[in-house]
Amino acid sequence: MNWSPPSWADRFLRWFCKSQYLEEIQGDLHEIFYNKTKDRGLRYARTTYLLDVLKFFRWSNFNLKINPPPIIMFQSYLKTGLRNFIRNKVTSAINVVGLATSISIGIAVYLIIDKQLRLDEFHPEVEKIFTVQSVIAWEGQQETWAKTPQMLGQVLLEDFPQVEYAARVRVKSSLVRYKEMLFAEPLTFVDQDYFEIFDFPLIAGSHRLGLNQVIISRNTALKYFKDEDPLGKTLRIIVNEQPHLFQVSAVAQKFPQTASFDFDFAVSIDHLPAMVPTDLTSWRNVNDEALFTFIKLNEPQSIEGIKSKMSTYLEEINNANTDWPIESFRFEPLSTAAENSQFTRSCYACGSTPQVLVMFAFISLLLFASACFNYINIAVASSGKRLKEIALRKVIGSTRRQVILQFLVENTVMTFVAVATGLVLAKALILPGVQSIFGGELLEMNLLQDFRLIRFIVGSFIFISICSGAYPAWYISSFEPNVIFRGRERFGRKNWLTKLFLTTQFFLTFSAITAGFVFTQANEQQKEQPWGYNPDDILVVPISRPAHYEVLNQYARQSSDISRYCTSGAQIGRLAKSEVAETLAEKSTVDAFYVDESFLELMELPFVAGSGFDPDQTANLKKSVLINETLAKVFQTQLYDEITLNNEDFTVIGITQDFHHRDFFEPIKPAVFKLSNKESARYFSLKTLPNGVDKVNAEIAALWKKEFPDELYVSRVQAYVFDRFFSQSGMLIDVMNFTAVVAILISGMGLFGLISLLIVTRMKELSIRNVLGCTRKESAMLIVRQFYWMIGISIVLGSIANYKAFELLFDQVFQGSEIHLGLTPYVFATAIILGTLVLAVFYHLKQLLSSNPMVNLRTE
Amino acid sequence: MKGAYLSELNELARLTAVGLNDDVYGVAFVTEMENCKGRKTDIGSISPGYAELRRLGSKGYATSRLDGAIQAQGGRSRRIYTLAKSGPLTLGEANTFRTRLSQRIKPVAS
Repeated sequence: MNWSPPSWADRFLRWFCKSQYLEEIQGDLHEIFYNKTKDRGLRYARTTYLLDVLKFFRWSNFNLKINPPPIIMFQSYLKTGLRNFIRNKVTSAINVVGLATSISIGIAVYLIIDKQLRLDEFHPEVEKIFTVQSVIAWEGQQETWAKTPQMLGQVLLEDFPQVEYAARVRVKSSLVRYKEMLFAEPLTFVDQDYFEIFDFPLIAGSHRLGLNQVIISRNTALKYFKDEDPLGKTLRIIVNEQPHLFQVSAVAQKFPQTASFDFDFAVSIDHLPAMVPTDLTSWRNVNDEALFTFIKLNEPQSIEGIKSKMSTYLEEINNANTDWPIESFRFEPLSTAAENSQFTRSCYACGSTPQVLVMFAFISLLLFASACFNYINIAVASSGKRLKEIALRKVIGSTRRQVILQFLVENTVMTFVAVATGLVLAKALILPGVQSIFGGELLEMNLLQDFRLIRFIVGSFIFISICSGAYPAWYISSFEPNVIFRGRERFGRKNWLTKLFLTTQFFLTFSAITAGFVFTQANEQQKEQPWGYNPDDILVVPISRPAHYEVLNQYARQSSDISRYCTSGAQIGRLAKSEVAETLAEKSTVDAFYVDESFLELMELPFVAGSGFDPDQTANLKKSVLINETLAKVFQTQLYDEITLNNEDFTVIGITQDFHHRDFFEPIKPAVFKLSNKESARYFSLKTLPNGVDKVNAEIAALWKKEFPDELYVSRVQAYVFDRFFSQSGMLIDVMNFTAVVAILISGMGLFGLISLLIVTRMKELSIRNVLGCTRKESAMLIVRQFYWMIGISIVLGSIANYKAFELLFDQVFQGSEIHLGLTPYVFATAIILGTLVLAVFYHLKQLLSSNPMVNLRTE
Repeated sequence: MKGAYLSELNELARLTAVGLNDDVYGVAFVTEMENCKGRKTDIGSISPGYAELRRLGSKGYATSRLDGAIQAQGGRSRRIYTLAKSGPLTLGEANTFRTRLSQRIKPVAS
């Protein structure tokens, strides 16, 4: 019978097992294998053999041949490490700066990601807290919504003994007035249990939400009351234009950074029915906004019991919500609610999108790899300096393991300095930088209390020590003493791994530079891109009732600064109303703008065919629409064709040119203009004389304050409507450019150090050439020649890969704008890389050749 | 090692080994343990069984030699353990010692 256990499992056994036990253990394993083959067949025996081998994988059987060198050797290693570190100032500085930069960025990225992962976990017994979500079917797809029927929380509290607390939360926009101050603020309506479930400690006052009492946040207290004592002060809170008086009963402490939600003004939800038409004791869903429900259980496991009984409520709920039938309920644990908020429609506990975090982690890893490559390349290239020492150590009796250990210990000296510098750098530069790019609060770096951060830093310290030190240690320790002493071998050159690392590094730097250039270029192009209409000198004022219109209309008629004015139901560039349009060719949703007769004229939106709404023919105009070119194309509609909008028939009397009514992340969508009466308009637009927007804005603000003291004046400059888009892509550009600069810095320094070592090894050759009349340029070419292939490969690969990647990315992300990616970024990136190389070569050559060749050629 | 005293598990192993006569080696010992044990021990799985045999050896209750390769073992030697006739405490002595102790507590118990 042919029987043999898997040979790789045997090899594994031989590798880890102590040699004195190997014979008997292997013998017995084979016997067991033999028995199993007899009883259960060869297949079974072979598959279970590894399991049997693993049973012997224990400490007492391990082959532990490493005899750790005595402590005194460690001291000696540390001392040599420190000396080498101090002696080679340039290379040490390059290594430390590179690694420290990447570590500090790593720490910042870690803090950002860690904060996202820890969101809301500071609430006590967070595992018992759940938020209720409704699953509905929408056009054949299941959608999860964070909103819930209004009385669900109270019903759960009454019906299930497992539910200890239930709190409903609803946030409404409001205006808050104190003395002369008037601000738009979110007003949070909560049940009293909100403060039992969530941990928001107070500076003063009590958590009790009494009648007409409001709990405010610390920031709000500072904003409204500054040095005064806020307790007992009366705030005028205006909801739906009705003022209500509330007394400040408590001030909350500063909220933790890991809170995905908090509040500025918290009042009892019992006030809600008096402010907005709503019935908290019904199964109805709130229509436009969301009402969130949170519950806290006695045991985390009790959730299963509740889940299984939720279907009993569905019929009753759906009878009350025929327009919005719920299929089932989900219970999301609070600890993951913010992380998963991207999968739900609307959210109270909201987190950021993971794609951005992944991008950050990726960038920081690349920078880190680049810094490690530097260290490895320089260490390998400079190994020639320490060959004799290693040979001597080996001759005296060091084993290879000991030499490796020595280099690893020496390396920790460098890593330690780098980590320490990185911490300082993170605190002083990177974290404030992160704040200035992304806004928000300064990230806390608390080295004394944040145990996870300490673990991350210690972990990366060990990881970096090993990553950067392992290969050089292995490489340097591999030389044979007799070869070294005979001086035959040439070390530290023509190492394929070094070449690979260098090429990769060039490639990464090249990509980072092109990314920075391409994004900047794209942003420039988007800023230049015409919007399809003239947004200059237009001020848009949101209005909500006819009185607003009257006041503005009167002002506009009288003012000499205003050339035109008009009203509309939506502002171009912001969310328009969505309506279902239908022709014979197509049926889908379109953006509908309700405007008056002079709107298009004011926006200077040109017509392709037909004309605008003629004020003289008001009767016919009720049944007329204007469409944009995209709609005409998609719906195959021509002038004077019929089109159905929300089941009403209209005639197309004009076709306008395409214009950007959404931002550049989206392509231009079909749009229609309908005529509407001025009194129901939501926006009042004023075209001023050139550069007159600020003056008009100030005049209207003063007028508004006089006429409507309880209402906040808000105005928008039409030319700034895409600012949010530009600030978002601006952030991206800032990140990309920062990455590019750091990448150039790190790889440039690496190149600098490497070339200096290369020149040192060829010092004699270069000196002789110099004496015999070789010019500096020719010598420089000799050095640069070594990099031809690496740079060539990385530039070609980088160009192709980046071109493809950006083309794909821009098609996906900026669907609303055409971006022409020229060759400029690639030319620039090539120039920067070549420039760095040439600069480094010339700098070192100058130093070498300006010294007397005699000094270099003399041998004593 | 930590003295010559036997734990209960040691003694169990030693008694098992006595039953095997001359054939005390890894697989046989583990199989015998599995067959005879009247109670649940984790000694039955193979590697702890080895450790137990080694412990007996190191405490001086057994001597071992490499011998007796058979074809089933792929021609490798077994480590055969022989129980020492006179360990620091023979089985009989251990038994007597224990009996004496239990006799002493009898009056208290009754």
